Amino acid sequence: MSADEFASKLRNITGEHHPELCHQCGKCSSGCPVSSFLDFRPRRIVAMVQLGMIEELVKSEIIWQCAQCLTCKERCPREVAPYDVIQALQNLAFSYNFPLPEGYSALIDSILKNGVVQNPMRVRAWKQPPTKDTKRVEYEPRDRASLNLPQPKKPDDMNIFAQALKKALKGEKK
Amino acid sequence: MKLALYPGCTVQSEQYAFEVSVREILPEFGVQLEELEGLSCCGYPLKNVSVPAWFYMAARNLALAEDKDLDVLSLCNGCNLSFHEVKHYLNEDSALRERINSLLSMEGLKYAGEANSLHILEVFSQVVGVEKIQSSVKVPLEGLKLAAHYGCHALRPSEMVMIDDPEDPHILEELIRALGASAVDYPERLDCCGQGLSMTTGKTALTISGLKLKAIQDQMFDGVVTVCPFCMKMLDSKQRAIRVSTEHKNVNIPVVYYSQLLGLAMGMEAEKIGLNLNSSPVGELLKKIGGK
Repeated sequence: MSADEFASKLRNITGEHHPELCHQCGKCSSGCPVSSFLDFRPRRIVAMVQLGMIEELVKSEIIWQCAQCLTCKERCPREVAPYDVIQALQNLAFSYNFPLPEGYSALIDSILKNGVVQNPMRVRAWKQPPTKDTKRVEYEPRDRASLNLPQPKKPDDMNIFAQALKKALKGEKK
Repeated sequence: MKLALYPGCTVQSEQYAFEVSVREILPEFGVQLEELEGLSCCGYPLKNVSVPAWFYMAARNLALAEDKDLDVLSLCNGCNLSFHEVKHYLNEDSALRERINSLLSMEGLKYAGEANSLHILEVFSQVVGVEKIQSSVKVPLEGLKLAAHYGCHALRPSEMVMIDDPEDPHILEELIRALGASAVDYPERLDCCGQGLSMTTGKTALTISGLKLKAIQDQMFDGVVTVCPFCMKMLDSKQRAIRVSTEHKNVNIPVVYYSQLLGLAMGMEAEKIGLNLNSSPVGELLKKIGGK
């Protein structure tokens, strides 16, 4: 896929954004919370897109190391919105069936099965408020019912919901 | 005012303290929370793999709200942003709207773009109002120095959420000060909690949270106040994991939802506002305000 084709694909995915306009000012990478810890630079990803290195990116783990803080999108002076470029690359990886990070398929399965990311869990409630010096905290269990919270929400007809969602997910699949 | 409560997956399944405290407090200010059946995930977790699936999921919840003629209060920064973004994309593109509506019609739903999503900060500062909040205070939180943590998606992208200035917000600090506590600026104020990395590189996520908590602690704050369940999950619930697996071995500081802080100032008992569900050392806050 050429850089031009990708740019048009990107526009189809997230609206009017223009990776070709990036002039490498670096505001995105300097504000990126991940770039201090990992070899992850939004502007390098955008530069690679300009050079047409789409396939390398789509197959690479790097596009999954974005924390989605959206600082790059907020600060970009050229309306490139590096986050949107990264999101489009991730969408491409999914539609071409490249491996996704562990956890994504479980996430999709849970939404298809339950309508939500996860079903309500039992949690711990302390008996005495912990302070900085508390060595051992005693807990008792709590769940939605024991907290007087209403029944959790989910789609009325899970089958129809899952059918519609599958259709949406399949939309761009290759 | 009536609003449909949209807890979002994280609040509905584990971050119960936010829901408990909001349900306890808002009716006190004349905000009635309605139940909306049939809700699902907001779609935000799917935007990375499939934008069309994200559009469908968000529009689905908005269509349910629209059907009952209600706006929603989204208890999660991510869900609120998801609804705003999808509404923006769908409302400006009729062909896209049609494609999504054909999926929604399978469940007999229709999206017309009439329901809005409100953020809890908008509800407290605009629907309720800072003055009313100030006059509800029975136990002024004087002497507490608190660090406001908004969470990225409460503020960015500003053209979508428009709650406050994305680079210099004040709304949460104003709400904290209304309770008698101090809320001063700090260099790491707008730093991300790192949660977005949890699925791919958990240790980096913990390190990013640890760095922020340590900075806050070093600047002698008494606690952290947030409005996002994902940030809460990192900053409150993961302090032990941060101590164990990152270099930030001394992180140990109270973290609360703003709704819980407000409840404390209104003189509510800890359990009524779900404070017994927090993992951080919230006893420190209770000691300082002489609470129960």
